[in-house]
Amino acid sequence: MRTEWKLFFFLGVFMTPLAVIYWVTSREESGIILLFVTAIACFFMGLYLRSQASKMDGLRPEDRAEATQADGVGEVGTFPVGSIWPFVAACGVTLIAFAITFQGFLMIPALGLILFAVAGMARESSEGDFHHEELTAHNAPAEEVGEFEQAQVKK
Amino acid sequence: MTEPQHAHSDNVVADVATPRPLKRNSVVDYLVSTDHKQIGMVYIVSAFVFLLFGGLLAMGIRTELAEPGLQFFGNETYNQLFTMHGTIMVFFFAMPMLTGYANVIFPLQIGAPDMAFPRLNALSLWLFLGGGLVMLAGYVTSEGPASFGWTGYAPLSTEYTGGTGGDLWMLGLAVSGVGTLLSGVNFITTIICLRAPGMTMFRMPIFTWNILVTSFLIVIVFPPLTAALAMMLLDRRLGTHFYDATAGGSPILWQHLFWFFGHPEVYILILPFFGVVTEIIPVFSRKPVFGYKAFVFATLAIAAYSITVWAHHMYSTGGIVIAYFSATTLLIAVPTGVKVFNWIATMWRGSISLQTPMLFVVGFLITFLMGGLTGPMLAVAALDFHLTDTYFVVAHFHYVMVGGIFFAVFAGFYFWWPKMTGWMMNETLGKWQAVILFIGFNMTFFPQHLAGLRGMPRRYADYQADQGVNWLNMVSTIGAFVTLIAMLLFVVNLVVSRKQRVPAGNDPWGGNSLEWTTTSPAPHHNFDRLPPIRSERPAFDLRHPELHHTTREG
Amino acid sequence: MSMGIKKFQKPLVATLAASSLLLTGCEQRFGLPEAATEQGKSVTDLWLFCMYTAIALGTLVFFLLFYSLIRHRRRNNDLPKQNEGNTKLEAFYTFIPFVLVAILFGFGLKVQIEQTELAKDDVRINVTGFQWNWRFQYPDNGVTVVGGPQQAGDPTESPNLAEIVLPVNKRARFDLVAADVNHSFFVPGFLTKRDLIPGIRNVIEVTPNKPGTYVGHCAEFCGLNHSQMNFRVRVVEQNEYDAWIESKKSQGQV
Repeated sequence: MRTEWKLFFFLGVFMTPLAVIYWVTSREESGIILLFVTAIACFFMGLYLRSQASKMDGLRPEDRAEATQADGVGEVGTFPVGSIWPFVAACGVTLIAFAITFQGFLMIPALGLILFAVAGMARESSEGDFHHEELTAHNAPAEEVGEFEQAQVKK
Repeated sequence: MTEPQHAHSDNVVADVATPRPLKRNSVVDYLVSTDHKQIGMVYIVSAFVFLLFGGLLAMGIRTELAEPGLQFFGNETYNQLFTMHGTIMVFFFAMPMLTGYANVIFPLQIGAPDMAFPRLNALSLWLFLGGGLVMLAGYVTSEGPASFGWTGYAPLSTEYTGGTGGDLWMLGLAVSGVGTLLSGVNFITTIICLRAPGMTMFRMPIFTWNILVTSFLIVIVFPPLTAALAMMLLDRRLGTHFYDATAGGSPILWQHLFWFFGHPEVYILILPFFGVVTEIIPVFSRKPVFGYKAFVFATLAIAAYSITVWAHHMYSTGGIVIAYFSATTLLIAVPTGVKVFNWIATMWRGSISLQTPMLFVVGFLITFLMGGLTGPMLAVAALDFHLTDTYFVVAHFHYVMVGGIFFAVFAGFYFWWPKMTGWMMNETLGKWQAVILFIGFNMTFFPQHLAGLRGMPRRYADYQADQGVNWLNMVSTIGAFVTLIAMLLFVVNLVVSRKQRVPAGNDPWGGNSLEWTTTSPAPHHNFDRLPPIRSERPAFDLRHPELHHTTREG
Repeated sequence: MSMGIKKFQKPLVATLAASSLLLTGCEQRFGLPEAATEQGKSVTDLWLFCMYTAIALGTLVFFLLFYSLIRHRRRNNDLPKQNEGNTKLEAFYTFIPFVLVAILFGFGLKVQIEQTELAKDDVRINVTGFQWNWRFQYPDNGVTVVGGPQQAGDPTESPNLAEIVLPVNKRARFDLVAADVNHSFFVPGFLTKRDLIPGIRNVIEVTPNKPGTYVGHCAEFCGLNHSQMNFRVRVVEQNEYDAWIESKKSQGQV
């Protein structure tokens, strides 16, 4: 995570003087606020990633230049096989837009759809047809990686 | 619908990770899909549909402007034409096109099984399409869609334009904008958390880097847009006075907020396509990217500066500090120049093969450079006072945006289509399309520079016959029809290639990055086996194990 | 082989240079209208500087691009030298554009300050833009001109267009006020424009030095009949200007 946090931190360092110069040269409030919030957001991201990095013991396989695929074997995360709820939620949001412009009562089914979708999304990760599968990095048994590596070293 | 097809089944490895493989090819499959490749495909297909619609509107504009006088449309229809053309092209063609390419390609490039938040990804997609639906609903209202220009300057867009078309415009942008924002969050998380072992930050392909930087810009600038749109909607519907000067508000506040979004937005649109070009040039030159780190830092510099340049759209308002914005705007030319020189240096002494993707990249380089050269002229306020709001500006941003995005979109399409579907596009038709598009594009937009210099303002439904811009407009209109031919050729190519079904194999081009080591199309969760990653060109390293390569630390 | 390539290097450069010259217009101003004001001269100089730099830079890059495309195209299946970068070269082409934009910034700022500085004016005109026409008031003389309804494509000479008459070689000051939405006061011959925005007072000062008739436009999109919001500026000799003011005054008193 070293590169990641430095990246955002660097962006914050870059933005701060630009924000200060704008503040000094211009009296225009919206721009001052926007620029400072940008700088703060960059620092926020950078410091958050830094604190995450310091919690880890050592570097992740994706941060190590010498890591092999065997280092990544293990649980990658849980991924849904599919889900209808994002579609339902988006239908609800679209309906809100139509409720604002055309007919106010559409707001009721719109909010209903969104609530329905949120509830569905919260439930589906553990049960039902679309329950999340746990994905483990199965993709490279150590021996095969070895073959790749050997091909690599030959000149 | 163009959906992924298993072109030749022996190439597709059984997907051991899926307990319940979904039936492919059905509409329901796409509705419930959280697979980044399928989501990306829906993005790309709907972006093309919007492109055809936006292009049709553009043909309407050019047809009306062919000769002085109002021949085809009234003022109001014309105003709706260019408003919807701009909005659709920026928000519903270019944005989904970049999220589509990002979705399909970058998880493959970093060896990720999917996005970090697959359901959020699906939500982004459906919010974008919902926003598009809201926007297009303007066409079924009695007053028609919004007609205040895609920049929606207050107070014209608040007190002086009635009708629900304007409200739908704001809500459509807000809904699809939220979708884009969620995409940005998703992309950043995926790039930070789901890279394959050994894929350090400084081994990521430039396209992925540019998606990361783009996502950062999205996260910074989309919230102000949504806030600005909400305030505008309140002004329209509930009678607040955020942008009303007569009641203590400020019309210029809208311009600040809009361009604080709007200028980074053009970099949001162009940076991923810089990435596309940076992926294609090394492959067709058989060389590594020249100055990898320079590319990364140039992208970062462009992104950081782009946040500080918004008011260069507002020189003529007289309400801003010109020197600040002029300086930052001109500074952006430096990292952009570095990129152009690095592209050429990548080609230099390479082994260049002008296949269709590379041909489009050449078109990109030429048009983008021409647009890039007029950029600094507009950055200087003394010249901008004359040039702003004329066709010179129209020509400039069509050169950078259409030249940049259009040519790169097609370059990327011909390049990655085999990876997405498993079959090749027809090369002959592709090359014809590239050449005709280049001719048509330049015929359309080059004369607009001259028309603008002679003082033809933009967004004019009509122009006076004695301004000396008649023939320029006629040439431009003819060019637009030539461009239309190129687009039709593309549709023909899609049909022909689909019939021919030339199988692509894993790696039709001799690619560099990780996506070329998996099957075409990639299996569910992308990789059955990852090769070792020892540089930013893992696929190249596999093909050339004999070459010693530098190890890039991250 | 390389002889063959060298043979068409020169024509290539010549064609590129010629075509960029030709395409951008044969006049020496590359399509920019002739400046009708004193202030416009330095704008023209700045424009020429930009164009010459752009043409030089564009020719260089196009030459490199096409040279590489032709000279380095694929001839065999050998892998070319895998060159990953050259820090010195990259620093060089970071530095050169930096110098160029620094010069451009300085030059541009100088011209802009000249253009926007206010001095003692001879003629003062209050410009009001409204949907969709113009009102020009001469506060010193009590003369007001309002445009009539325009048709699509009305020529510059049309009597319906609102008209500003200015004495030649006298410094004119325009105070720009918007009555409803944003407009922009644009006379291409003056090589400048400024927006009319509710709540903001903008001023343009120019000294027209070439008698003649110039077209003017509203350049900021202002709604339905935006493209029919044209006007006309006539720059005339002092005596003609005085006569015009008198005739307008007598009209006004009727």
